[in-house]
Amino acid sequence: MPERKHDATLAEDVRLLRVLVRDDWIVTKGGPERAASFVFLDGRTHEVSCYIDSPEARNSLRERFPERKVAIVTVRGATDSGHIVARDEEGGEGIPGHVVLVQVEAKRESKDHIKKTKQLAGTSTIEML
Amino acid sequence: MIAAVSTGPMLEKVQPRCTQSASTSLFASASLFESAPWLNDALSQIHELENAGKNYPGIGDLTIAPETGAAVRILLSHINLPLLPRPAFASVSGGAIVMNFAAGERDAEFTVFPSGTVILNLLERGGLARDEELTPEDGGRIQDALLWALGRL
Repeated sequence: MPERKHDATLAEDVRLLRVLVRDDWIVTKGGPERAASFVFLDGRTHEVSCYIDSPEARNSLRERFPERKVAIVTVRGATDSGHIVARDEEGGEGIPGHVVLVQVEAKRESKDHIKKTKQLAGTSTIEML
Repeated sequence: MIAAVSTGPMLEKVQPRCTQSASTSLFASASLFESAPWLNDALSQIHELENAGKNYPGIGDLTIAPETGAAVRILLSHINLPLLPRPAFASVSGGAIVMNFAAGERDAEFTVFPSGTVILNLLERGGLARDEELTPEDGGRIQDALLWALGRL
């Protein structure tokens, strides 16, 4: 896994899209529709793929994931919950604006790690792609 | 411990020593599932997750590792409660599984990583009441978590 560095050129209000590829990544229990608490968790690489919101990224994602929704967080939401946002154009399968979110403040697979990924999910909103 | 989801050696431990016809043995296995109806459903859901898991390039790999499935089954084998709400399972990027037992305003949520690490979140009205780091073998703590969710602890 390459060493990841936060891209400090990204403005805090830049929106990041996480494609909700499964229906059970969206919950409705006890309130409005929202992203499941684990959508910003990765159990193996501990890196979560997102895309910088842009018409080009949305068009490409829509082609691959038609009728899917996205969870949207901001760069500020990511850093406030202990993540770095690192650019990774190579990992985006040709879709522009690919970044990875990496939790750097908590030990991997710890209860604090889960807490921080839940914190980030809690800041997200949902939209259609 | 519910022997029906145990690993090989555990199954051997509970094998009756007396001679038994095949039909009687099958009936005994079936009655284990009847006494814990949530278990059959849980095992089916895990199986479905394992079969449905796929890699989404550019998003994440939702393939469930055999180690994760095994860890969840071991965790379930430590639950000795016949009546439980139907658990919900979800696959997480990177091959982890989240298992949630929701009982009214309380939830016991287990995040199981391919490494075998288990994070338990006890939730009340959606807020975190307690969290713990476990292994699938922490039978007492797993059982206590479910008793808490059921309001019996």
